[in-house]
Amino acid sequence: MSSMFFGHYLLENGVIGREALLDAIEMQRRTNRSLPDIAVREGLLDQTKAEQIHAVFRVSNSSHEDLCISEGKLAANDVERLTRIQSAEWLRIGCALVKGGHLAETELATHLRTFNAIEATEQKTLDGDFNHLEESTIVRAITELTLRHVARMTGVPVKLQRIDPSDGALNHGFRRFAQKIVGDREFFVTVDLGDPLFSIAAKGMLGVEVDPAGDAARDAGCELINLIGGNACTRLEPEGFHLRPEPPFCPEPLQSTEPNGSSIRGRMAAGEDHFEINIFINPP
Amino acid sequence: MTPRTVMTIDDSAAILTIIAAYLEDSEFKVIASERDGRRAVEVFREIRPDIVLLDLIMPGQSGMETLSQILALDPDSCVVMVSSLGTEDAVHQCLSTGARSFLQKPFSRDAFIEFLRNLDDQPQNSRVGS
Repeated sequence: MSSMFFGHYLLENGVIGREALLDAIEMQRRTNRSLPDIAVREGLLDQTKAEQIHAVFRVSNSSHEDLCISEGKLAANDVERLTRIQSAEWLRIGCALVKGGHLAETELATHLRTFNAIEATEQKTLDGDFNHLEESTIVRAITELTLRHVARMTGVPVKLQRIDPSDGALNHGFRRFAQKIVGDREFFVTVDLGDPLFSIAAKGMLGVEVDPAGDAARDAGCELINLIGGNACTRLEPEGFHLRPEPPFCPEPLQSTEPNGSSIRGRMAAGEDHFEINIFINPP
Repeated sequence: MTPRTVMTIDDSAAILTIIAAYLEDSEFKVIASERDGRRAVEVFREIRPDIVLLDLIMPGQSGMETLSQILALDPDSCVVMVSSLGTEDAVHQCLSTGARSFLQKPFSRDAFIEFLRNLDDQPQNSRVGS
């Protein structure tokens, strides 16, 4: 789990502008293909079956690779060959920037070296964040599930930037979805989505375009955090926690949900947008 | 073949939409979708579906209360609890109250339909995880 995408690093350090990053991301979207799509191109799957796998992917916890096999669509050796093709063809963000004329190859090599070094250091910090938290098991489990579900519903990769103990102060410009977890601990989990991600997540949940201001999108956000909360409780049961989620809700913007004090904030990046997860834990 | 009738009860319209989409062109037909437990019990009394898919965690009247009321109306009704929460406590409570089975969210379309097809073959009170 690393802290930042290379494209964000270049943007934040003034190496490229926002337009260049968007152009490169768009080039990636046009070029990079999912495994089922490559299977269609290689004549191993028909379009209908590929769409079925995409539909299942949106709501399951499995990878495209596993689904192609478990849904009986492809043999394991075909999936292995397709994965190699996908990997060879995959256009990484740095190469897309070079291809688009936004970055010289020599610059790419230099910045990539620096970026990798920073990433290695930050990874250690992130591990430290988890391990030194009193409730690190809960935070880690919920963070993992949040990453997984949000990535699946938005269709874009997400990374954790850091986890900070914070005073519960909240950012502007987010749609908040919250769930109270009760049992032998009591805490709130909230997910804060920026507007673009909010729309994408709603579409990912419902499979159709929805009005971001409407009830359907709000409902999808609540169901998103419900999936995270419920699965988190299930995931934590074998570790000795007896927890259950209460119904999810959508608090008013900027209204803190925690009654007193302790909160843990995770900042995450997802493509060009970002969102936050706040896990509020009261002292037991 | 006459389709088997299904009633879905979930406070999330997103889940109701997804389940209805999953069951399109299948041998199951959604004949009612309700977002409120109390209202759902009233509708159940009228329509008596073959299968009830009931969310566990709902605002207002909970899934457990709704389950008890449906079973009071028809002890033989086939009620499947559907929830993102799959802890042993939750599953045990639902099954011991009389739910036919337990399905943990999220689930895929194919797995979901297979699950419904196998309901009759499952022993009473069984659990299916995601």
